[in-house]
Amino acid sequence: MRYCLTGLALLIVWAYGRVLVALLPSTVRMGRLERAGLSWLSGAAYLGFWTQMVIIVAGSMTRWAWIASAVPIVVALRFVFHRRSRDRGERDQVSRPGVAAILAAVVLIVVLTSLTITSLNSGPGWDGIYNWAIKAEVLYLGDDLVRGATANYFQTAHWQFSHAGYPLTLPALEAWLYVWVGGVDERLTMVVGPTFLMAGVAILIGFLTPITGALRATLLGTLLASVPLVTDLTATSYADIPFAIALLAAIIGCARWLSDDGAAYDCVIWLAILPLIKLEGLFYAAVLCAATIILAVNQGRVRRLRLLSWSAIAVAVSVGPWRLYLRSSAAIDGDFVTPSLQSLSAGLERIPRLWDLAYSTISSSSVFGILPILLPLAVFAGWRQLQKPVVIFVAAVLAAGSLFSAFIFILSNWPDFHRHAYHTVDRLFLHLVPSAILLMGLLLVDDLSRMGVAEIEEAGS
Amino acid sequence: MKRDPPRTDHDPAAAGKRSHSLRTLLSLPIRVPEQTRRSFFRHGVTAILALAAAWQVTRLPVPQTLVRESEWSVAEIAGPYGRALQFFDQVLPARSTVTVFKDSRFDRTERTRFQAAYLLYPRVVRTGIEGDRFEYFVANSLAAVPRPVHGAGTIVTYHGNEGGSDVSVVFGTGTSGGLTLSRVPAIAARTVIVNLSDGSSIIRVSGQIEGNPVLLVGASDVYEALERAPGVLEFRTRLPVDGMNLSLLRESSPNPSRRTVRRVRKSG
Repeated sequence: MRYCLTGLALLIVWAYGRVLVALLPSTVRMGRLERAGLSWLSGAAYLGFWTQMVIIVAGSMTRWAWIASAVPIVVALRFVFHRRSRDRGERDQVSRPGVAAILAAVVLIVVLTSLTITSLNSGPGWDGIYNWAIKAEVLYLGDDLVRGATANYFQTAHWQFSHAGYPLTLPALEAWLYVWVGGVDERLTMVVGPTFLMAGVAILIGFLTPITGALRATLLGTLLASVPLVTDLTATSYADIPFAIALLAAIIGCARWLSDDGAAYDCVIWLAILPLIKLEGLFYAAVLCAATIILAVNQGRVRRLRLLSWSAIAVAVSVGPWRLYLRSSAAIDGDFVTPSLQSLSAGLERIPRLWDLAYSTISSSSVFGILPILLPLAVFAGWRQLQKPVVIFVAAVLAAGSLFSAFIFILSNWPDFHRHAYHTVDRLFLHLVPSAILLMGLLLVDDLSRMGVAEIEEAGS
Repeated sequence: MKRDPPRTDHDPAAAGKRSHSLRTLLSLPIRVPEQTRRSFFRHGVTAILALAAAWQVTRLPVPQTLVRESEWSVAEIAGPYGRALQFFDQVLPARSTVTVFKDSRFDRTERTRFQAAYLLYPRVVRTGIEGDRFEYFVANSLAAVPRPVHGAGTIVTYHGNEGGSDVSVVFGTGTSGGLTLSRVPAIAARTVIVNLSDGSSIIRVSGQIEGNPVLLVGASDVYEALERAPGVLEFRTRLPVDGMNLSLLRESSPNPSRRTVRRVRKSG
């Protein structure tokens, strides 16, 4: 019964997201698979955003607040029906998959099922318990069960060890499950990781299929689902897999932005979702914005720059109030010092050791599987594609993300920065794995026009 | 009209030139149609991707269904942690509070055990989370440790109510537990080790931390570490965990031998 209720709770989150995705302008050009994946991501982010806004306004989550999360969705449904009647029949037609693609899909389904079973039989992990599950329980308890639990958690210094300032999307999802099953059960939350991974695989395959064909897209999806670190972290309640999937969605959204004015507002939404899942999202939102603007200026499409302001507003709305709320409390994260000229110059001597650690991490087959071999091969085989703006865009974001992941520990506040990096650097690089596989897909194809980038290619070349 | 002589392939001079020209060798008349070349590339890439995916898939972990077969399996995995939490679950009254000390040098085995224990007896651990306080108090006891999280000597405290905890527990009584003890001399001076029938051990510390009784939980390899501390008392017993009761824990005297605990050695 608990598993049924958990499934129902997940389905409702997906339905929330499905309504929201249906409102996006470029939805009509997406395949069903991609829309399904994005729906899950949107629904989860919506629940996180809703939770933090309720806490800011009302002080804590209550039973009524959880129920009321459906109200904006119901209101949005009216616009969805309006759009559906207007946009009917505009979707891209995708050819039927061949036998090989179907076989690959079967293997992929077996892999994902296996990962789900493994995850359900694993524990939440150390950070899963002490960073995320605690927040989930605080949200679930609200003030209904323990008076003042929420305020105590977010507004006292006692809980700093659990990073009380981390975003609430993942804890809100877990608390949502608790609400539905009527009690705290960390085992059930182990389904969240595989669900995000499935969403990511769906987004990747859905996006790549029109470009690379169903077989190659499915193989790339299987590659993503079988990367050792991905499988390892899927079986925890960490936020790294959800963030990696959100980053993939944002990169795809920005790629569409580059090719299609109609997709501009989608991109804004995906950028705003990033910091709702992990704080690193602020960095990546800035990088994605910068890379998109540089390419847009290079193409002489200066009028698109106004969307920069929309993105900034969206990101500010998604996390601004929450950060202000936290700033007024004691929930301040202390793992990193505030960037300054002094702190940066003091940390420069750490670079050689951080480089060694980053290199040994990203070149390890026990961490990233065959990707350390496959990605350079893909760059070698598809070097001609590197002249195309969309490929340059994805590669630039990956490069910036790699530098960030390797050297952010220059600002580490730990007494032993190497220990900090040692425990964290692989998870930071994991955020880039789905996007790296996306890059492989884009490199190993002759014709990018199916994703709507022909226009850019002409303008950029 | 003068006609050019017919071209032949038997011109010795030209043939000699070609035979010594790498450029000529490379321009042998092997013409690969563009379509074929593209097709070869496309299928080659797909084949490589398929091989790569297959290689990775074969290295996936096997689903661990064993863990969920029964609570007994979980308890086995939980090991001493599970037994300790089981003890709390059975002995402590509702809303009891437990203070847990854990050196954060968790290896994978310890982490798995702790998680399994946590899953098995969530009520005990959750008493801390449902209460108003859940904090580290590393600064009070382990001032030498600069950071509470991820550093050696971490002390985790679970409190269930405002009154503080009823029992203090040190998880990990191997090297890490010994390290913790060595940094808290007041505890190390009055430590009792209770061995269980299955080979694991519960180490009783008769001293108090912040006014609470202390229970250490871990494997038996702590003895060596403890023996280095002055005033350590070691006891061995075949007393099962669920045979203990709270009154035993609450003893302030370092002499628990009045029950089934048998004193084996005294040192220091």
